[in-house]
Amino acid sequence: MNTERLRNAGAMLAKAARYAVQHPLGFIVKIAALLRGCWYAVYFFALSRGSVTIKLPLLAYDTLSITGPGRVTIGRNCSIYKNTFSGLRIVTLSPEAGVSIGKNCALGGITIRCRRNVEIGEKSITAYSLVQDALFAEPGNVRNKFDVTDLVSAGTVYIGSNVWLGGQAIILDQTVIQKDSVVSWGAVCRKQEVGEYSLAFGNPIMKPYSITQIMKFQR
Amino acid sequence: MVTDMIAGLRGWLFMRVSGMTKKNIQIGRGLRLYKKLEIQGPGRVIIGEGCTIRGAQGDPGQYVTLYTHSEGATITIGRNAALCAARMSAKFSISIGDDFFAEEAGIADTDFHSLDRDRGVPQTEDENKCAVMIGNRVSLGARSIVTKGVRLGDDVIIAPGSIVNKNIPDACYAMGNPAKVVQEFK
Repeated sequence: MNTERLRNAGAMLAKAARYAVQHPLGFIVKIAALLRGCWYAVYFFALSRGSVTIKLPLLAYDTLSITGPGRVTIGRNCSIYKNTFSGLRIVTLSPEAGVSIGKNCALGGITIRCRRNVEIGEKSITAYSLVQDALFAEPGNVRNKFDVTDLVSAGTVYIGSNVWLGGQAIILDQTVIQKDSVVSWGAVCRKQEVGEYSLAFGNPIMKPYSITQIMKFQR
Repeated sequence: MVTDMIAGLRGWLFMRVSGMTKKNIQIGRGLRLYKKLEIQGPGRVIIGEGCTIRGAQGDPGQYVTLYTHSEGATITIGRNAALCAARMSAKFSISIGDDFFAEEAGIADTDFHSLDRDRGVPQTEDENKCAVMIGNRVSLGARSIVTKGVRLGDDVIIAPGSIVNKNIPDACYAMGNPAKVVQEFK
């Protein structure tokens, strides 16, 4: 077991050395991103008094901002890429809010506003999109004459593993996206479930197609 | 607590300075500025009492913009409005009732360009066709857009990401592109 681990570490080091020789500039950028990720982990851990945990390594090519009193966990080996606007923004709007992001995610441009619970599985890819687990981030400003507490109250968002969130997609409350699915450009989901390995599109989303069927159709 | 006081002070200062320097802006008492408010253009802008200006949650780059693109343009906002990074562009008129709430939403009463190949000033637009009227107690969700010539009734809630291009009646919840009524309140 120990020897195997040593061998793996050796292989990784050899790979890194080869990368450094072949692409020296890319290597420097990657090291800078790693250091930036370390700094973010320490900074947010110290600032939030323990409610934010970021597991290392985190490759931060762009900015990460976490605000609010809730819990936030980011798994190991995530990377924050440059996107249309700045990197990853997480806002927790209440003390009981919880955001958890799995390992090996590629996050870029996404804004997460959470009042109750947002969960993103491992290996997910995101573009410039919005995940908000309620209709409004500040429901105190909604002064409707009728009783709309049901509509405005927060739900939970579950995004499974290996999900691809397209650009300008909006994921609202009570949405479940199962693993291996794709949410297309500009789709808006609310109170809907997208099944395993299917494509969701439209605003509001139509009945999701199974991707296996689409692949058959393409051939 | 301190931020509220600072916002109140900022709003008072903004009101005084804009009242002295610009004749076309009229702002009611009790304005609170948590974020920058930008008013541009030659048209008239009227903001009622007790309005709050905020930024988008978690997006420090965005702020509220009220732009007028012609001499006769008017933007009227009623009392107790809460604008969170809302953006408005008026060429004719945008009139909004009391207790309005917009979160990262946009309102425009013009297309800015014509459909011709030269992309010039649109000739077919006029005030009767393009004025946007919004009733009382309306809430607009994040990244939603209200286009020209739309009337929204009272007590309407528009979901995030929806694009409103048809009239919406009173007391309902609408979503989608184009926005359709999903639920009616009773």
